[in-house]
Order: sequence, then C-alpha cells, then structure tokens
Amino acid sequence: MRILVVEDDPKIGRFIVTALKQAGFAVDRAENGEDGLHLALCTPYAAAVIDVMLPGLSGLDLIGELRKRKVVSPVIILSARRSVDDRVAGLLTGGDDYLTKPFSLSELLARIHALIRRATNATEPVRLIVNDLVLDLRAREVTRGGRQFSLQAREYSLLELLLRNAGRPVSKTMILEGLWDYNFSAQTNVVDVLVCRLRNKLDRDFPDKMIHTIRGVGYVLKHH
Amino acid sequence: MFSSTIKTLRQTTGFRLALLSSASFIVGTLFLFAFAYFLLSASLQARDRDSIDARLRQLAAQYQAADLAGLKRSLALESSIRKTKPYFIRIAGPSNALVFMEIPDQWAEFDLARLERLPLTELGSFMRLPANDDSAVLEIASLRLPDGSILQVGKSTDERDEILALFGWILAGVAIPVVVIGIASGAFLAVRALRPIRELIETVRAIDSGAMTARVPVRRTGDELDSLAQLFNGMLNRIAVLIEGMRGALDTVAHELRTPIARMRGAAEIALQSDRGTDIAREALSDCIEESDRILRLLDGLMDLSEAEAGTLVLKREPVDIVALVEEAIDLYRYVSEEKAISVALEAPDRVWVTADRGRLRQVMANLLDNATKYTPRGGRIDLKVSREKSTVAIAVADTGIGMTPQDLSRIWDRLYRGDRGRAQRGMGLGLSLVKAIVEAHGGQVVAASAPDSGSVFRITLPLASDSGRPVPPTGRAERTAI
Repeated sequence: MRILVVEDDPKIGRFIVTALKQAGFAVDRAENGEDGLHLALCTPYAAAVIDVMLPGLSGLDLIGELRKRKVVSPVIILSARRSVDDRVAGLLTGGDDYLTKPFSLSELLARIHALIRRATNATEPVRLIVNDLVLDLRAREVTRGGRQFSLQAREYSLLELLLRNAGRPVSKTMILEGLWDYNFSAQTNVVDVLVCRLRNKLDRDFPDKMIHTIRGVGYVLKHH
Repeated sequence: MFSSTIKTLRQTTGFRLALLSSASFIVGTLFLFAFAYFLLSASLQARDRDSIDARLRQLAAQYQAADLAGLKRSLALESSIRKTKPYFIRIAGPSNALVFMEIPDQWAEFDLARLERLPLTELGSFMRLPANDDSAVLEIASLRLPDGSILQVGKSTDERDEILALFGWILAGVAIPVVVIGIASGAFLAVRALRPIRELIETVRAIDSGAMTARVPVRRTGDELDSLAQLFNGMLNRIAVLIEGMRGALDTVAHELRTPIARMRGAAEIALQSDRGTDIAREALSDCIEESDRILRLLDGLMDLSEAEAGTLVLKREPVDIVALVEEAIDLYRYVSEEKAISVALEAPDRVWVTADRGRLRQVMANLLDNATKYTPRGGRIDLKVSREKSTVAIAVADTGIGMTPQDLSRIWDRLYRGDRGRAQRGMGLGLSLVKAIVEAHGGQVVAASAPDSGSVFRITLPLASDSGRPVPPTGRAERTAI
C-alpha cells in the first residue's frame, strides 16, 4: 500500500517516511502543497499524512482541493496547534483524523491502520488471534492455549485494542482515549495498573510473554 | 516648513475648538451690533417722518386759516425767532407749478425741478428724492389742499446719517476689542479643556518609549476627562499586574523545563560516550522520550491554565450529568485505587444536571481523584459526595491521606507549587491551579480544608443549569461504549 506524506520539515518528514517504510508501506513524500496535490492527483494512495503549515498551498487548502476533485483517500492532519477549533476546522475541511505535534510514531501508525481499515471496509473479523491467544468478539471470550480467562470489561477492551494492533506499539494516550474516552494525560499510572492486571492474568502462567512494555512508547502485544 | 506647521496646527483639536468658540462668539456679537444699528436707523427714520407729518398738517391748517400770504408771514416770523429752517417747504399750484418754496440751511444739491414732474404720493407715504451727489436723500410728504394747490414738506436725511455714522464708528471701536477677547478666550478655553487629553497623550508616549510606570495625573475634579484619566490609570495597573504575572509564570516555566531537558541531555551524552553497545543507547533513548513527554504535558497544562486564567478558555457548554461524570472518573481510577487497597465510596442523588464543558469537568474530577489516590496511603478511603443545593451542586472529595500543613494549604492553588511531601510524588503542580481555573471559568468555586495526617477535603460548587427545576434532556450526550 502506498502512502503520501506532505511535510516541509526535513527531519520530521524523514522520520515519518522511515517509520512508514519500516511498517511495510510504500511512501512518496512532497515538501509543499503544490507537489502534494500533483502527486495525489496522479497516484491513488491508500492514505495521506498532511501537515497544516506548508509553504504555498496550505495543508487545509490542499485537503479541500483533493476533496473537491473527488480524491477520497483518508487523510491524517498534522498540526503544531492543539486547540479544539483547529481540530474542528481540519476535520470539517475533509481530514479524517488529527494529530498534534509532537506525536508518537506508533500512534501515527495505529491511526493510519485504523483509517485504511475503515476506508477499505475490511470485513470485521469474528476472532482476533495471535499464536495461541484467541479473542472471540461475538462470545466475548478469551482463551490462551485452550484455557479460558474471565476478564473484566476494561481488561477485555484493553486486550482487544492490543490485539487489533498486534505487533505495533500502542501508546498510553491511545489506551486512555480508547478505553475511557479521556483525551488528556492522566498523571498517575492508570494505564500501567490496568496493563499489569491483564498481564497477570494472561502471561503469568506462560513461559513466553506476549504483552511487552516499550519504555517511553507504550505497550505491544506480540509473539516471538 | 511654516506651512507644514500651520497644517499640523490646523489638525489639532485644540486649534479647532479655539477657532470654533471664537468664531461663534464673534459672529454672535456682530449679529447683535447689526441688529442694534438697524433698530436705531429705523427709529430715527420713524421720528423724522412723524415730525414731517406733523409739520405738514400744521402748515395745511395755517394755509386754510390765513391763506398763502398769512402762511408766508408766519413762516418768516418763525424762522426769525428760531434762527433755523429745518424743513423743506414747497407750495405748488393745482398743476404742480411752483408757487412758494422754503429751503432749509445746510442744503445739499437736489434736483428740485424734478418735483414738478413726479406724481403726488398719498398722505402718509413719502417720495424720496436723492441728492445730486448721493450724499443724502430728501424725504417729502405731500398734501393736496382744499383749493387744489399742493403743499409739500420734506426733510433731508443727512442729519440722521451723521448720527448713524457716528454710531457705526462706536460699534466698530467696540468690535475690535470684542474680537480680540473672543479669540483669546477661545484659545484659553481650548488649552484648558484639552489639558487632560494632552497629559494622556504624553503618558501614552512615555509608555510607548518604555516608561511602563508612567501614569496620567488625576485632578479629582470629577469631570469626564478626569474619569477617563482614572480609568486609563486603572487599565495600566491591570496590565502591569498581568505582565508581572506572565513574567513570573515564564520564569517558573523556564525553570521547570530546565530539569527535564537536563535529564534528556545527560542521558543522551552518557549514551554517546559509552561504548557498551545498544542496550545503554536504548535506555537513553527511552529516557529522552519520557522526558520529552513530560515537557509536552507541562506545556499543555500551562496552555490550558493560562487560557483559563486569562478568560480565553472556550467552554463547550452542554447539559452534563454531574453524577455520571463523577462515576466515570471513579471508574478511571478504579484499578489504581484497588491496587492500593483504597476504598472509594460515592454518595449522590440520581442525577444532577448542570450546563458545563464535559471534557473540562472530567479534567477537574480526574485531577482531584488523582491527587486523592496519590496522597492516600494503602488501605485508606476516599469519600465522594455529590449534593444538590438550592441553586448549586456541590462535589466533595475527602480522603484519609497525608493532608497538608497550613502553609501548603495557602499555596496549593499557585501554579507549579508542590508541597514538601508532594515533591516525592510524580506530577507537576499544575493540577490544582487548573482545577481552580476551570471551576471558576464555569462560575463556580473550589475550596480545600486539610490538616497534616488527617486527610484533605476538596469541595467544588458549580451553578446548576439555568432551567434546573426539571431534568434537561441529555441531548448530544456521547454514550461511552466499550471497544
């Protein structure tokens, strides 16, 4: 899948491109709005990451222009401003998601995956499976190696979030937002405590651990 | 150069004010003078004409009584006694042919022959015969006598012209000082009335050039310009306080940022100097991310706080059920409190609706619960109580934590303040200032009570929704759904 990145800052542009390539995407990068528009009109992209502050054609104008020309690829807006009004303006122009700088790359990746999933109408799976860990979405049952676990609501939601992003780190902010709908950083270890509980249930009795902490980034569920 | 000075002068309000007031004063005075002149001239003319009329009737009576010869005699007698002949007298035959004429002294040249050709005027109206050199006018009244002959009596206007000319000179003599006084008083008034404005301008100039302590002199006269000066000074004082506050905040922020940046730099430097492979580098990079997240949280918190304190925080008000909101916050901290074996209890009515910004109130509740769980030791309790009062709703959060000293209690609302005991805990000391700012932006209040080792109570009061008598339908309320 091919992704367009329109970002004028060379360093930020470079690390977004690197991260996307590492995640297995093909990436084109433009440094200004006009080039971005040109690329987006020539190539069908699975998604686009567009900075708001661009030289020449601004990010919002670019998105408006794309939507006017019936380019429907999902767009993530990057902005250095975090006010609610900016977010609303971005989403009204035709952006699909909004990230404030500085952002974590894992969050950017998770959001791109979510957008692509939504845009391509991927069929909702019945089960999420990683190795011997199975989460049955219909029965709301979790088993590992055939052994069933009884999880509390939040624990179940957290596991579902980690499984849907299996192999990719999930940040604390994403967990707070996804589970409690709180979009600011709580200062205590709300998330750590929950992850710890889930780990105690799922990983304690198994030699190969599945939930890993990446300090400073978040948590990742993966099998070696 | 000179013309440009004139131009700037013309643009000043003072000059215009002076010009306007002197001009209106002068115009008014001149109008009064002209009116007086007109009145005088009219009354002099009326007096002359009355006397001509009287003379005409007197002579007509004498003519009828004593005929032309008798009239001539009595006229000769009269002028010998009086020594003056003030009136022009003419008697003509029925066909206007001259019979007798008496000409007064000080006689201007009149074309008297014209009188024979002019038609007679009615009694009571006057014919005007201008002098040959236009220096005077002869006003003549006519009367046809019973025998058909014509009697005419006239008087030259030169006498009253002299009086009017004299009066004119007097007026002119008075007008010059009046004009001078008018201009002077106008200028004086303008200068005096505009003095406070000029002082205001000077103060603004001084501030513009850096003298922030400059203030407008206040005279306490109680007029509009004085209250303007007072308001202006009040505004300057407020700005000074704000600037002082911002400078203080900036100092604190700079200080607070130095610590995480120093840690970040140190970690990176040690990793660079070490040659023990990637593990230590990974460790350092993790440190860097953690510290940069910390800096980001600090900046976000400070932005929120300064917006709330400056009153520019945009509140997205909607009907919010306070009880549900508190329950959500308790739910957020459930596992943390369970982990520390802290029991959390809520005492609340079914629902209490207020009009508020849901996200901001969540932030408030999360901050209060965060503090409570942080400072309450293992096995303690947190009691929350939502109670509806007359026009407010009160939310109390009581813990059995370490409490605060009176010194701490007096400073907890200050931004970036952390009590001695608080320093051991994570956090930045912004939470409570933010709580206070958000609650106050909603028109509410927050108070704290505490003593060392006997827990703390935080109590928030918020105004109830305006139509609080009945429950507000929960429109637009986002239901929480598990993923």
